[in-house]
This record gives sequence, structure tokens and C-alpha cells, in this order.
Amino acid sequence: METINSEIFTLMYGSIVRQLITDLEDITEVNKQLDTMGYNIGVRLIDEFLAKSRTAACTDFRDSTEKVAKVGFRMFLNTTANVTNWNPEGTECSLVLEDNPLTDFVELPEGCSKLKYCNVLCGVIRGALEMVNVQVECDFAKDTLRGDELNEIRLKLISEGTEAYPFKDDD
Amino acid sequence: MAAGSVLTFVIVGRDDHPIFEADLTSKASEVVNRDDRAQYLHQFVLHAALDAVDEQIWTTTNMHLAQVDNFNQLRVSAYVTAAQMKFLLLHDGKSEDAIKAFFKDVYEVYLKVMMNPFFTPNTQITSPSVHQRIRAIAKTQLKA
Amino acid sequence: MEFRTQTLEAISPVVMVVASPEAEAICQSQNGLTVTDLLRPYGFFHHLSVPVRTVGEHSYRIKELRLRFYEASAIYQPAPKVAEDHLCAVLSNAATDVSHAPDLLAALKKGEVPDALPWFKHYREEYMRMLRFSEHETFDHPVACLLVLSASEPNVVQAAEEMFQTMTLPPALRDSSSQATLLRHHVLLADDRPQPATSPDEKLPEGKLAEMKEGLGDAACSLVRINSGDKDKRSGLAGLWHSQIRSPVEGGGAGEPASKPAMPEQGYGAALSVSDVDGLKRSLEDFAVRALIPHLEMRVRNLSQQVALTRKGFKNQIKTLLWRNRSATSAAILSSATSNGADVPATPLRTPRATTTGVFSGLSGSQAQLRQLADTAFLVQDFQTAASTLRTLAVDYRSEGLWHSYASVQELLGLASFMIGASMQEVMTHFKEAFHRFSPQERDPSRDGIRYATRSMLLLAQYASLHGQWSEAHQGLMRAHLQEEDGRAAVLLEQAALCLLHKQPPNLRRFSFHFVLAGLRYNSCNLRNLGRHAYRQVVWLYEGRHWAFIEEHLHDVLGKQSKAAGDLHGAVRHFLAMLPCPRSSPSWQSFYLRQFLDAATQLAANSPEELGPLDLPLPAVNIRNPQVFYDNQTCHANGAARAVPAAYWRRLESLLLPGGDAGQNWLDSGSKTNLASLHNEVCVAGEAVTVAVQLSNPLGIPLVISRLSILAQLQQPEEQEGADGSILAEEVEVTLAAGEAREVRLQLRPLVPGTLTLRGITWTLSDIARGERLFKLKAASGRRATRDQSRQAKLVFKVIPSAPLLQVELLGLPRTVAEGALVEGQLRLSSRGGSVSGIRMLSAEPDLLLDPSAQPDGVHEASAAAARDQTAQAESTASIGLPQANVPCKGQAFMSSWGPDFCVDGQSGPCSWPMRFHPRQPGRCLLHLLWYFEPRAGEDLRFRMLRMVHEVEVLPSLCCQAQLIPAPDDLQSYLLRLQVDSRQEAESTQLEELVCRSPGWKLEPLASAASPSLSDPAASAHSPPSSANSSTEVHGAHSSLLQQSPDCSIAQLQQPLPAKLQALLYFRLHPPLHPTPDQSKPDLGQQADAAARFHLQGQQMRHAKAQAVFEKQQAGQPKSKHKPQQDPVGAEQKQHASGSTPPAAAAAAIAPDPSQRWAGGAPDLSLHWHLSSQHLHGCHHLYKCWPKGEAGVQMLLKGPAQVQHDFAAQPLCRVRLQLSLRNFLSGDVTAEATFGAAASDAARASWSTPGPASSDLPACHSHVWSGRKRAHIDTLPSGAINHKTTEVLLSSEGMHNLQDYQVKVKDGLLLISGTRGLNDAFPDFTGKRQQLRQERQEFNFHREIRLPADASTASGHVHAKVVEGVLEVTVDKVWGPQASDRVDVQF
Repeated sequence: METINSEIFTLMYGSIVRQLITDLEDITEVNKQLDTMGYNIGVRLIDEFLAKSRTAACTDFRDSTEKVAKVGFRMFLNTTANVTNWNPEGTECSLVLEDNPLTDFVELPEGCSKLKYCNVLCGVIRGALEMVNVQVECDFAKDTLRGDELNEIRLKLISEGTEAYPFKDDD
Repeated sequence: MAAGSVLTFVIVGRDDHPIFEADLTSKASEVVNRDDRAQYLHQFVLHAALDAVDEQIWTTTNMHLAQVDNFNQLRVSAYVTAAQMKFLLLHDGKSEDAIKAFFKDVYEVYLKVMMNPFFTPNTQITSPSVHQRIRAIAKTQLKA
Repeated sequence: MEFRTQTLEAISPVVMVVASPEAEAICQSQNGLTVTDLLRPYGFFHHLSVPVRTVGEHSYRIKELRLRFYEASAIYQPAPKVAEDHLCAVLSNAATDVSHAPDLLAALKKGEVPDALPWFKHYREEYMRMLRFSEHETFDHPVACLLVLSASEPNVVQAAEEMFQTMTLPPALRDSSSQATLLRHHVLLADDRPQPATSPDEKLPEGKLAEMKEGLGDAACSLVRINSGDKDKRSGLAGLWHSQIRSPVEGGGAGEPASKPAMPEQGYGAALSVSDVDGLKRSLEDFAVRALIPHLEMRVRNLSQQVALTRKGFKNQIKTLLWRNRSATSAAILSSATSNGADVPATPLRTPRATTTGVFSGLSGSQAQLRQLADTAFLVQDFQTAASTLRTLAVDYRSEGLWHSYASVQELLGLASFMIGASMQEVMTHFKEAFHRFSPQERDPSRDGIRYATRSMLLLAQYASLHGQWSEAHQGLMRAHLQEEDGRAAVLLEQAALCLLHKQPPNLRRFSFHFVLAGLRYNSCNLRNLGRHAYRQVVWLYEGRHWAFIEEHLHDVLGKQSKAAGDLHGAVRHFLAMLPCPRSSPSWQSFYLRQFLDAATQLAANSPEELGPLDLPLPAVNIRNPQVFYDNQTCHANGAARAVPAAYWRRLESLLLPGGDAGQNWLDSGSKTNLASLHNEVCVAGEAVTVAVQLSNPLGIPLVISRLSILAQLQQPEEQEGADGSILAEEVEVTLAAGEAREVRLQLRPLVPGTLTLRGITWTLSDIARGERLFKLKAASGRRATRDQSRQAKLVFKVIPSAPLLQVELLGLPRTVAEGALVEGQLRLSSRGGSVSGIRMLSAEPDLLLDPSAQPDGVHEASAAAARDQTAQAESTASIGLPQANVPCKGQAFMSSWGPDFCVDGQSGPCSWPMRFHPRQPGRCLLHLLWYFEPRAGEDLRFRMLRMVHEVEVLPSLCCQAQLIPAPDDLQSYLLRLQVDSRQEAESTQLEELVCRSPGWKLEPLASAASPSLSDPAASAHSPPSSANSSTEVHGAHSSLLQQSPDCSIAQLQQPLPAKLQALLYFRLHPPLHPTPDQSKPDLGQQADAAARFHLQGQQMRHAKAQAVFEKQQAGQPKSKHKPQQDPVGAEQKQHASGSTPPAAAAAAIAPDPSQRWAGGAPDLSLHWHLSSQHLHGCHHLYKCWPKGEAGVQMLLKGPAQVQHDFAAQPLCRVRLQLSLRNFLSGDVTAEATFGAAASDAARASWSTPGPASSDLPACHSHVWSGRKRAHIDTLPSGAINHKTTEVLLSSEGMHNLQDYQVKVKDGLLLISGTRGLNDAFPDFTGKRQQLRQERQEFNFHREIRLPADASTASGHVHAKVVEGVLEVTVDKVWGPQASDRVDVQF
């Protein structure tokens, strides 16, 4: 697929975030706004994703997270994430990005320590998964910009669409 | 003053505003000891050297103007980026090659800073990491 | 060309003036001038044309000539020390006032930069003067001697001779031979004043002149008449001398006598008439042209011949060689050796001609001759000769290493080569060479040469700057200043800096640096004024450029100096500028602060009125968009109320205001209808306006700020009264720790109506310095315009007259209560500043209830009574009059309003109302109360709103799960299974009673199984307290209330429930026998019962909320994540969404069972408890317990439990049984019961019936149905019960299993199967609590299978079997999926 210069992309995103901060003047508001933007992106993006990457239908949540991490990130962000520490119920997991092109050059000013710079990613994941009837909560657990050693997005399954996997009779 | 005891680096932006200052001598800590008046003199010399820089910008095409000015033992070497940001290094007799290499590396750091969306050009560079990086460069290149 | 004239002026023939005392007297007495001064202005002759031929054959013409007149006594160089003192005096004179010094910034702006600072020119001249008459340059040696005698001298000639012999020669001419080279000239000074009495014997001056001429030679005498003018009417000549008069050096020297006559009041030369001046001029010119020039001409010739002589030929070469090898001292001996032909010095020299013969002998060596030649040639403007001679001389000196002489030669050579028009480069190299050679080399550290070195650099600088070579001039001066001492170095630096300004483009930054250096030099030599001037010139260039150290330094120095100079304003200003220095160490910061405060205190002490408010940089104040809080039509009771977004309030207001409920969307309805009526930018007189400002302390030391207050201004339209009296601004004391930033809220109250303008804030730093900052408003960007308006800073208000304000207090409302607790509180209403009426309250939380039935105390009877009934009906109408369906967003809020004539006024004190608070959900509970009231006084505000928020934290207390099971033993009653989990941390809960308050229901305690099992985490996990079926619901009633309420059955259970434990309670519940439709729906109109209303609201609330949450999760909005307790925005969203839920859904939520089992709806149960420790009562309402499964037709076969029969007496035992059916379906059914064989065998065969373990009797199947084998009920109406009796004959003892009977229902099939013997099939519950509790697993006798009414198509088989105490019935799939339900009944 056609590509865009990553620096242009990064700078664009950065300027957007910055503009948000100057306009909203409230970091939590900015995080929300970013998430919403990402949501709207994800809602559109999922079709593109399904069309371009001819992946089979996901069988369960694990599968879909794997797809997001490996295929989705590779496709749209040109990086990959690892899906790690599942909770025993298999409803929560973490996406760990080894490198995040959005945060190149970025250094948070001391004013915005609460800012989730890449919150748009959470929104994208949420929106995209929602389009395939997987309701998730998505949040940045760790962020290198805030001094953590890695970028970790925490995924939490809320509800799963029934057509996501075949009807089973339990007895 | 003994050699190596003076090593001050300044990035001067538009309207002669210094957007970054660092005393790169190995002894220097962040909070400067105000008893030595040298600090004043250094800034004066650096500031005065800007005139010399402005004169010499047009004499050469490459960014690294070598030593542009001196006052007694203090020498000022300069490096001017394409956007007319002036890197000034106040030293007493470092080798020009080392200084050139130093400027080159600092320029890399500076580019990174400029790419940071949260950095507004021509404002103070207050990030401590930049300080550390430049200090490290000074250690390697200038043996400071 | 100016430099040329300057050079000609500097190097011109020196005439030594020797005046007789009489002559001096004549001159001075009248004119205040010495003779020398008298002559000086006329020593300049232009438009001459005198042909001169020195060496070589070409002659040239001298066009102009200058003569320098000096008194003989003064022709020597003052000692360096003296000279330095003189120069310092010059500078300090200049320093006395620097006011006339140009402001360089302005000059630079205008583009006219001065060539030099005013004191520089004078200093330069004086400097040059101090260096005249040096021994190694001869052009300052006098070439002529002017003997001035008074005409009244009796014997002129003799007097002249005496004078010549006795005159004191300048040191340069001490040796007689050089004295002989002097050209003598005599001037007869005639006093032309009208003599009162002229003695006849006295000759006229002309006569004297004549005799003088024939005595001394014709050409060497002249007569000058002065004082012919009238002394009193001044001649316009005084100006001629002003430029010439030089201040004497103490001790004399440098061309000036030690003392001079003071300037007379008429001015110099008052007594000189024009004729005098003309005569003087003529005679001097005469002297110059006829005597001096030829004399010099001749000298040049002789000297050149002499030089040629000495330097020619082998012998001379040897001589010069020898000279060079010898030391300079041997020159004297040699000179004496060569001067054997000279005359004796004592003998007077007759003629100049004669003198010329012995000239060269006196001067030592050929270099001296050369030098003399060069200088003299220069004097006669034969620059070619001078230059060439100097060159050769330079070569000589250089080869001999006489560097000083060499340097001076180079200096003169520079001038000469300039005169002959050499290239600039050459000229300047000469000067530089001179400088280099003059400056002290390391091998001779004598600082003597420095002065000359500096002079050559001054020459260079002047030359270069006059020819536009500014950078050359700058370099020269810089080189010169390095080795000079402070004062001169400073002057040189300033001059160099000016040169930088002249460059294109001007080098401002270096210029300023030089000035700073100059200032430092000045200060170090105590020329403070000049130093300050230098600093002041350049401060503007550094200011605001963030060169921290530089600014700090400048202000430091300037401040100290201004303070020293007594300019406290300046000191304060500069110290102020130094204050914000975050980078310096705290000790320095505190030091700066102290010195600033000292200066401020001094200034305040000296002139208090002058110390106005300063623009203090400490603390740093964020003046952009201060947050302003104020009350206008909408008031805020507390800060929490402000924290709630105004959109939420506006929604509530839209409910409360008339016409607020227009449009589904609260936003446009709010903005259009209501907020138009509220004008925002007014504030009420007497009420506080609060401004929140951000203060921060950039320093590392604590700052003490006192009297911090708002700077405001109140203009009254009618009379312009001073704003001070009309504003009450509170003053705050703040102490900011190091680096601390904090928000300070400042209040002020406008006391009278008018226009209030918030200008800024003002404060006092450490009780000394008063500072102020003015607010700046940021233009609201488009995006922020849509945001909360009240947060936008408005700084101008219209103050309207004060209006009464309702004040509400919630008394007895604790911060934290337990969930489901019942708190008795009081609502106290009072009013400030007048009485208010028409009070209405809108509460967004139904947890808070106002109890209208109680007596409002504190109100006098009449109004109280009025108020009560008003309240009663108003509230009933209000709370019922909320049409849930039309405006769903009202589903959350409920209103209670007082009558229009109920008024609260300030005089009669507050009146308070009992209220109850009953939190439903654990977590943080925000009580939003919105009050509407109408001030009785004040027409500006028709009504006002009071917003208040009360926050309560709700702890989880109990978790109840209720289950309703149809009783197995009769068709009416039900079993209520209640599982209560205590979520209390420590203390135990006392369960008091279970109350059923639905009319017609009966509640009887059956059994209670308190399993002391530690609360199993699983149970608590999968049934959180907020889950649907166990959600605690409010009824606001208390035991006291319960007695009043007509029909409610209470099951007392005084049972403690320890913390974290679980209790199981069993009750039997009798539904009303004949539900009447009118009674069915609990009509709150009739029973104005708080509890019931609470209950209703609770239900609506809950369902709306549940619905909202449900929908949100469906829609998957991001907001749905937020719990309503945590996030007011989220809550608001929810309520909005809940508003949009269709009423049908709400109804469905209320009654989930579409086929209403009881027309009256679910029984209204509530569990009362109280916490033993704190006297806290509470109740949980169980509003949604329905029997499991579906309604249908139920049947029951009844008979005696045990039958005693004596089979011996009678073989057959007849037992009477009763079969009763009840129809729960909506429609009628027809049923048919068949007993015995008619029942299908297949069904019977398939039943495996395990024998009971407990009974000892054998099981046997021998029984015969008797009586009617078939009973038919053609119509069994809905809800009706039908009884049929039958008999069974038993032939043997044992446990009989009656299985073979069948009941067919028209729409529905029922199969009854007993798994136990007939005998104990019907236990008596009341008698057997014990058994019930222990043998639970044996209680699986339940015999009811209900099929859903709709799907029960006739035939089919139902198999039932018992698996460990659970009766399972599986039905074949032929009935479709619906029938595949699984009834498990377990006790």
C-alpha cells in the first residue's frame, strides 16, 4: 500500500495533539478527545483493514487481539506489538509496542505529565474492534513518554458479539 | 585561567535570545557558583561575538565558521544552522577539528529537539535530557 | 582635509615669548591676557604665498602657516605624574555632569552617531599637550625668541640685551649652542591708553622703535600698540581667546605658565580696539614672512649640508661606525671634540647668520642632526625632505636598536607620508610600527613609552576614522587601551566602541560590550558618573534578551551606583529588575531580595508618595484569564456547586423554570428560553465576587506576601464617589514556599450598584514593596467558546442593587453513611437581606426526601399551616405532576415547592424541615439541589436560583437477594427465600423486621437458616449489590411510619448478622385473595406517604438508570465507562440518555413479567435493619422478586399425611383426596382429571422411584381408585381455584405411591408424580421447622410441572426423575425449544 513519510506523519500528529492542548487546556479533556478521534478513525479503518489484509474471521478474543497486534499495527503503523500478560479469564491482555513511530522526537513538557500522547491508538483499537462486535476498553497502561520502559496498551473485553464464534450448546 | 577551565556552549536564536546555555566544563554543576565573575564575562564575550558571526556568515557557505572572535584568552567558535540559529562555543584553545565534530553532533541533538512537537522554536530549551546529551557529546568530543 | 590642518597645527614652528614685566603689566592689567595669550590668535596666517627653496632646486610656496607661542618659562614637559593628575582632573571635570552626553540609542535611531563623546576631544587635546616638548623630538623646540618690551622702557636696546641674556631657557635649549640657533625678534609693546599726563621728555614709541632698530637690526624689531580701545564698551573679540586659553598644569609646563590672570569681567581683550588687533596681526605676519620663514629655510639648508658632510666620505663612515659601537654617552665627548671651532657661549651672538655656523656642534651625533633636519623641514612644510630624512633615520635607529627614537621617527614619518599623500596603508603601518616600538618590550618594563604608544594610536585612530577606516581605528584604540591604566583605557574603549557604531552595519553587540568594559574601568578609577553613563547607554541593548548573567550584572552595578549616587528610584528600579533570578543560588536570591527591600524602604522613608506600586516580578502571577466566580441570578451555595458543570445546572433549571421543558434537547431549550432571561454579566451588590489567580514563586526562598487583594474600580452612574468606600476587598496573607505554585481565591464585595471593573491584583512583598499586576484577557478561541461560559473570565460587571438571598443548610447529614441507611436530617431555610418567597426545590437525587407531613418549626402558626397544606398538595402535585412519559429527563429530578405566600425572611429566623436521606448505591453520592425563589424586594431580579451540592460517601452495608417460590403445599401462598450478605467491615448488623407493605399481602415467618459460613466470595462475586434482582430499594418509612400505614404485615426477626456473614431467611407470603384493580396500582395521590413516594421514585430512578446503562452499553459510547457516582458529566449523559428511553421500556423494566401474575404488581417488601453501634437505621427494599419460571395452571393433590387402618377389621382403607387446580393464565382453561388405568402406562413405567431411606415401610403399588375416575372442569376462569374430591382404596399397609393419575388441561398438559409415599407427602410446615432445617434434601416432594401456556400443545410425554433431591423434568423436544426449560426446585 502507498506510504507516507513517517516524519511528516509524526509531526502532523504532534501538531494535532498540541493544538488540542492549547484549545482544550485540560489534559484529561485532551485524552478524551484523542480517544474519540481514534474511535472515529478505527470505525473507518476496520473495513480497510479487512479488505487489505485478507484475514479469516477471528475465532475469539485472543485471535482478534493477535490480529490487531501483528497485522493491524504492521499495516497502519508499520510496527508490531506483542500480546502479553493475559488474565486467567482471558478477557484482559496487554499490547506491548516495541517501537512507536508516533512518539519519535516527542518529549513531554512537565506540564502534561498526565497526557496520554498516543491515546488515539486506544481509540482506534476500540473503534475497530467494536465494528466487529467486540466491545473492549482500551487504555495506556505504560508509556515510554511518561518514563515507563515500554509502551503497553491494556485491552479489556467487555462483551463479545455472538456471531463472533459459532453457537455452542452446553450440557 | 588554565586550559579546559572555560567551556561554555550557547545556542542563540532570533533576536539574540539565548535558547540554550550550558557550562560544559566537567566541574560545572547545574547551579553555577556565582562568586566567580567569569560567568558575566563569558556571556558578554559570547554576546559580543555575535557581531563577528554576523559578519562571517556571508563569507563562507558551510555552517561551521571556525573561531570567529576572541577576547584575551577566550576564543569563540561558531556554527550557524540553515535557520540562522547560532551555536557558540566559548573555549580557550580547543582544536578546531574537535569543535567541528562537537558542533556536528550537537546539531543532531538540536534537530531532534526541533522535531519535538511540544517545542516551540525560539523558546528556551529546558529539557534536562538535552543537557545530558550535549554534556555527553562534550565529554567525548572535547574531552571536557 | 581636516587631518592635514590638524597636523599642521600640531607640528608648527614654536615661538618662545619673553616679555618684560612692564609689558606683561600693560597687557594683563587691561585685558586679562598674558602677552603669549595675546599673540596666540594671530599666529595663523593663511592666503600667504611665500616661495621657499630648501634642498633641491625646486622651490615651493607656503600657503598657510601657524605659529605656536609659548612662554619661555613654560616650554618643558611636565613630569608624568603631574601630567597624569592633570588628565585625571580633566576626566573628573567631565564626570561632574554627564547630562549633556548624547543618548546613543536616540542618536543611533536618528542615524547620526557622534564621532566622539564630548569629553573625548578635550581629553585628547590635553593628552597631546601633556606629551609636547619631549626630548627626542625637536619640532617642539622653539625656533625663534620673541622679546617683548614695554615702550615705556627708558633704554630699550640694553633692556633687550639683558633680557636675552638673563632669560630662563627651556630645558631643551639649555646648552648655549642650541640657544644660538634661536632667531631673535623684538616687539615693542606700546600702551595706547590716553595718558593723563605725558612727560615731554619721554619719546614716543616710534622713537624708541627707531633707536631699537638701529641698535638691534632693522628686521628684528617691530612695534605693537594696544589698549587703544575703550575698555568699557567691549569689543567683540573676546571669543578669539576662549578657544586658545589652556588651563595651566600645576607647577607649569606643557606650554602654560603655572598661573594665569583670572578672566576679567569684561572678558578677554576688552581694551583692544580693531586697530590694535590689525597692527598686531600685521607685525606678526611681517615677522613670520620676513624673518621666520627665511630663518627656517636657511636652517634646513645648513642642516642638510651638515648631514651630507657628516655622513659622506670614508672618515665619517668610520665615525658613524664608531658611534654605533660606542654607547650613547660617548657622544658627548665626541661632540666636544668636534666643537672646537665654536664660540664661547658667554659671548653674545651677533647675528643669526653668525649663529648658523656653530649649529651642528651642539647637537650630539648625526642622528640628532638628521632628526633636526627632518623636523625643521616639516616645520617649513618640506614634507618630501622630512619623509626621506626620517626614512634614513629610521634605518639607522633600527639598526642600532634605539627603539624609542625609532618609534618617534616612525610616528612622524606616518604624518609626513600622509602629508606627501602616501597610501593609507603605508601611513597606518607607520603608526602601528610606532605603537609597537613604543610599547614596553619585555626586556625593559619601563612604562614610559606607553604614553607615546597611545599617542600614536590616537593619531592612527583619528586618521583612520577621518578616512572612514572605522575598524582600523577600532583595532588601534583597542590595542592601545590594553596597556593603559583605567581612566584612559576607559576613554579609549568608549572611542573604540563609537568606531564600531560607525561601521556598516553597526556592531551593536561589540559596541555594548566595549561600553561595559569602559564602565568597569571608570568604576575602578572612581569615575562613577562616567561609569554609570557608559552602562546606561547599553542597558537597552541587553534588556529582555534573556542573557541572565549580563542583565543581572548590569542591574547590579547600576543599582548599586544609583543608590550610592542617591538616586533611590533608579536603585529600586534596577534591584527590582534583578529579582527574578531562578538560576542563582538561594543565598544570592535572598541577598538580592534584601538589597531591593532596603532600597525600597529607604525610598519609602525619604519620599513615601514617590514609591508607587511597582511592577513586582515576585511572585509570578498568571494574569491571563483569571477565573471569576460571582453570583447573579444563579447563586452557588458552596464551591462544590461551582465545580458541577453549568450545563447540568442549566438542565435542572430548564426543568424548574416556566417554559423550560421546550424541546427534547436541554441544550437549546436551556440556551434559548431560560438563559436569555438570566443576564450573566451582572453581579449583586453586597455579594462576593471571587477571583482565582495563580501565584507561583520562581525563587528558592520563601516569599511572604501580605495584603494580597483585587484591584477593582466601581463607577457609580449618578455621583462620582471615590471607589474606595464602595468596594470591600478582602486582603489575604500568603507565604509561598520555594518554588511553590498555588491558586489563591480573592474576594471583593461591591457595596453599591454601578459598574465594577476588575483591573488586577495588588500585594505587598515582605510588608515593604507594593506591587500590582493588571489582568489580561485572552481572546476566547472558537472551540472554547462552546465550553462552559461561567468559566470565561469577565472583568466588567454591572452591579445591581442588593437582592435577598436564600440560604439553605442541610443539618445532620453526615459525610459518610452506610448504603441503605436512613438518616434523619433537617433542612433549614433562611434568607439574607430581605425575605424571599415562591420557593421551589428541585432535587436530582431521590435519595433525599423532604418530609412534608412534619411540622415546620420556627414558622409562626398561620404561615406554617398555610405552608403545610400548600406544601402537601403542592408536593403531591409536583411529584406526581412530573409526567414521566412526556419529559423523560424529569424522570431523575423531583420537585417540591412551597406556596407563593410562604415566605422566609431574615427577621423571623430560619425555619427548618425534617428530611430523610437514604442512599441507594455505595460510592460517592452527590446531592444536587436547585432552589428557585423570588425576592420580595428588588425589582432587578424577578427570581433567583440557588445551586447547592452536598457530597456524601456511601459505604456498602447489606446485599440482599430475594427469591420467590410457589409454595409446594398450597396454591395460594409463596415461599420467600431471602439471602442477606453483610458487607459491613467490622460490626454486626441487627436485622429487625421484614415488612410487606403491599395491600392485601400477608407475610409470615417460616424458617430462618442462618448459615454461619464465612461469606463465600463466590456469592458476593456473582451478585454485586447493584445487580438487578438484589438491588436495595428505598422506602423512606421508619417503624413509626409503619404503624400508621393501614395494611402492612410485618415479620419481626430480631436477629443479629455478624460482619461479613450470610443469612438465609424463609418466609411464607400470601398474595391478596381478590386483587381489585383499583387497589392494584399503588395510588400515591390518595396516600400521601413519603415512603411510597420514595419507593416510586426509587423504582423509576432505578429503571431509568438501568435502562440508560443498558442502552449505553449497546451504543458503546465512550462515556458508558464512567460510573454515575464518579463523573458528573457521565451522570449527566446517563440521565440524558435515560430521558430518551421510551416509556414502554421503563414500564417493562418495572414489571418484567408481561403476564401479570398479580394485578397489584410485585409485593412491596423491605428489610429493616440497624447498626448497633451508631444508631443508624436502614432498610433495603426488595421490589423485584417474582416467582421463577412462568405462570400456568397449578394443581395439588391433598390428603391426610398418615392413615391408621386396621386391615384386619376391614380389608380396604378408603382415603379421601382432594384435587385442586388453580389457573394463573390470563384466559380460561378447561381441565380433565383421570385416575387409575386411564393414566398412561408408559408414563408410569418410565418412572423409577427410589425407596426412601427414612421410612421402614415397604413400598407397594396396590391401590385402587374409587369413586369418579374422571373429573371434568369445563371452565376454570383465570385466577380461579377449583376443587375436586376423589377416593382411593388401599388394600395393604405400606408406602403407597400414587402415580397413575393424569390431569389434562385444554391448553397445557400437567403430569403429577409423587416421589414419596402418600403418607408424609403433606408435611405441616408450621409444626416442622426443625425438620425443614435439617433434612433439606428430603424435601423434594414438589410436584408441579408448569408448561408455558402458549406452547403447551396437547399431547406428549413428560419424564420426571429425582436426582439428588432435585426433581428434574425433561420434556421431549417435540414441543419446540421453548418447552426445553428446566425446573429445578431446591430448598
